[in-house]
Amino acid sequence: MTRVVAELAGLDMRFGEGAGAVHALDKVDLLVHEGEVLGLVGESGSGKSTLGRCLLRLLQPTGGRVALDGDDITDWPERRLRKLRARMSMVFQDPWSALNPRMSIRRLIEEPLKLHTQLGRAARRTEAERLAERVHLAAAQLDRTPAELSGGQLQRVCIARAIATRPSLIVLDEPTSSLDLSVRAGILDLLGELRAETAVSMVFITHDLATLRLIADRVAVLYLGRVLEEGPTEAVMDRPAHPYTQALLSAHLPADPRERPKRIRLEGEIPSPLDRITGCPFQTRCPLVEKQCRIGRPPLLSAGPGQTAACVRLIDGSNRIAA
Amino acid sequence: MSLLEVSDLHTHFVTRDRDDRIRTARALNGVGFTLQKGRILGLVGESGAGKSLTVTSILGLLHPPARVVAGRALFQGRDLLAMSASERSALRGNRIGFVVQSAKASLDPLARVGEQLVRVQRAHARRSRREAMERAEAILAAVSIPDPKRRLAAWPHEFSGGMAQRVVIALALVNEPDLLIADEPTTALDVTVQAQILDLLSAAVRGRGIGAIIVTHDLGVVAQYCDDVAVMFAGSVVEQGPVAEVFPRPMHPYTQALLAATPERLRLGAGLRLGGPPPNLYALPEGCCYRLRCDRSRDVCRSAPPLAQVGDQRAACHFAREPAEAEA
Ligand SMILES: Nc1ncnc2c1ncn2[C@@H]1O[C@H](COP(=O)(O)OP(=O)(O)OP(=O)(O)O)[C@@H](O)[C@H]1O
Ligand SMILES: Nc1ncnc2c1ncn2[C@@H]1O[C@H](COP(=O)(O)OP(=O)(O)OP(=O)(O)O)[C@@H](O)[C@H]1O
Ligand SMILES: [Mg+2]
Ligand SMILES: [Mg+2]
Repeated sequence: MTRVVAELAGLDMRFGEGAGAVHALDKVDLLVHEGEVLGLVGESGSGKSTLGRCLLRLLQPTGGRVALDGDDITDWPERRLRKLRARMSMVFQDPWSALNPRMSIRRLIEEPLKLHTQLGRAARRTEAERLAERVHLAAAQLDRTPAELSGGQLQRVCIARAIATRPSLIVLDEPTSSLDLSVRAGILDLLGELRAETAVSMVFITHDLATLRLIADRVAVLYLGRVLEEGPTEAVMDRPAHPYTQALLSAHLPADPRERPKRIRLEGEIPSPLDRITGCPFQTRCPLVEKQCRIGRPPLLSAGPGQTAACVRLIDGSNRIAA
Repeated sequence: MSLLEVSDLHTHFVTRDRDDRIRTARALNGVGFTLQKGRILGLVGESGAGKSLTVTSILGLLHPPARVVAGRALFQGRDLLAMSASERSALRGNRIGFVVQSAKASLDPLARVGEQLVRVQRAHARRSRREAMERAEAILAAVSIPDPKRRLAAWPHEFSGGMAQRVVIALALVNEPDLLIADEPTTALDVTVQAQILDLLSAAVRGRGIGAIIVTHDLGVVAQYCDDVAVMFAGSVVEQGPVAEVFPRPMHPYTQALLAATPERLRLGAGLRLGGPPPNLYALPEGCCYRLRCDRSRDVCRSAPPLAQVGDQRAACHFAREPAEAEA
């Protein structure tokens, strides 16, 4: 196995105190290896963005450990983290809130170069133009402000900023969701090239299962702040072990009106992240739920080579939802 | 009468360059489509094609230097583009629900989620706070926000991307509009929640007979939930018609390229050949705007393409009737 670049151990994140506290991450363990793309999928609100922010220490977790290149950075103050910032970056989920509306696109792309590199003014300018070209932005768009670009164009500005300093770890939060397929393919190509050139590791958060298949080496599935399943992309997507993963994959919409999705419909309430859950977080909607699912927290069990899932029904192989 | 009938819509960005010469970006060039009651129209096309601009033009939400220079947008027979701003805002949020693409950024960061839902109701109807708050809770539940009662008191920044997006959908639906326009309403949602939201929308369309426009890059959403589709390229609708006709037999070469490029069929390393530079809006080519990217382009394409029609399907292309080359 290649070197571990980042490690989350027993990561816990709560927002707020007492009865109103949201338990966004519940003892998450995760490794990111050098040069690997780790895909992160899961229910909306399950803690994917929070996980990404904790990993880059944009948030201070309320429990557990974050390690980068072997250093435990969980409690590092921002002053100390600043030295690391050039080596890690994030593409935020919402490009409209991530960019200063008063800055030109050129300045926005130059900003990380100015903060984290020694490049002079002329070199920064050339580099910004090169980056813009790599994300398929036209040179004429560099002198505009964010309000003058479309959603997909803004998303590409964010990607250009994130790769500007050639970081070793990038968290990309829905980086291609508002791109059409041809631009999306171009961006995925670019990320692939970057990986080949610099061995960058990426955490790629997406709802698009087809994109996941194209880019991710491994996938982790989140639900209500817990990792329910993890493994090599093909294994998880072709033989999903956890009932939630099975339901998720079944809801994919085919792009052909003559084909109908065979969707596993989930009944039941999604538990509130404001409440404590005993047992499996999916128990309220799982078609396969049984008594023991409500008792202890299901451990991650082996579901194949390198694949694990937190479902007690794996033990006797009764974890498949009948089609 | 159609619910919404947009015709010959032109929107330009007019600016002055450094030498004080006027420069015009022709971002919309005669956009036209119709939407009937009880139907969902999917608006698709590459990034920057003018999808968002089309809906913001119709709704009177443009900012300078963008300006509608020509066109009509008849909503229930009344031209939205000829109305006063106050008439239009009386419709918006009430008879017309709008989900902006920048959903999260569009929420008021200083108001609790419940308060925002109450406000939009009371702006358009006489309703007690309590009644409005009850409806707010019901609509949050309808968009699958867990624990809606407690979440009413949350601030927008406490919501995840997809939860904020669902709040914006709830805001657009809470007054039971006749027309819903949603710009990328499900991009931040996982596929199971996406399906729940689209089921909710379909139910409103089929049940109450409203009409909806969904702007999306997700062809699966169009294939499975939309009745009609309009395909945009460089500020024009190049093809439109029922999904059941357009998807199996696209007539326009751009639609053919778009539909051929499903993510399943894309392989890394092969992507770039699909696209090509977006057309320069300041100097659009004469004739067909797709001709510089089109592999069937010939001399005749320098003249404006005629509208070819087969059944309810229409495409603006000189060679629209010729069958596509078999896709590899
Ligand atoms: N600053 C905050 N204050 C309070 N609660 C928060 C805050 N940020 C996130 N949360 C809560 O934490 C949970 C996880 O949020 P997160 O944004 O990580 O979800 P997500 O998986 O990224 O979802 P999506 O796919 O919708 O973007 C949600 O219940 C959310 O409401
Ligand atoms: N002030 C401006 N001057 C010139 N062009 C502009 C200006 N503002 C926007 N544009 C251009 O108008 C075009 C239409 O943008 P629009 O936001 O409608 O695209 P879209 O189809 O919604 O794309 P996406 O799928 O990326 O959201 C874009 O190419 C954009 O760059
Ligand atoms: Mg998120
Ligand atoms: Mg748009």
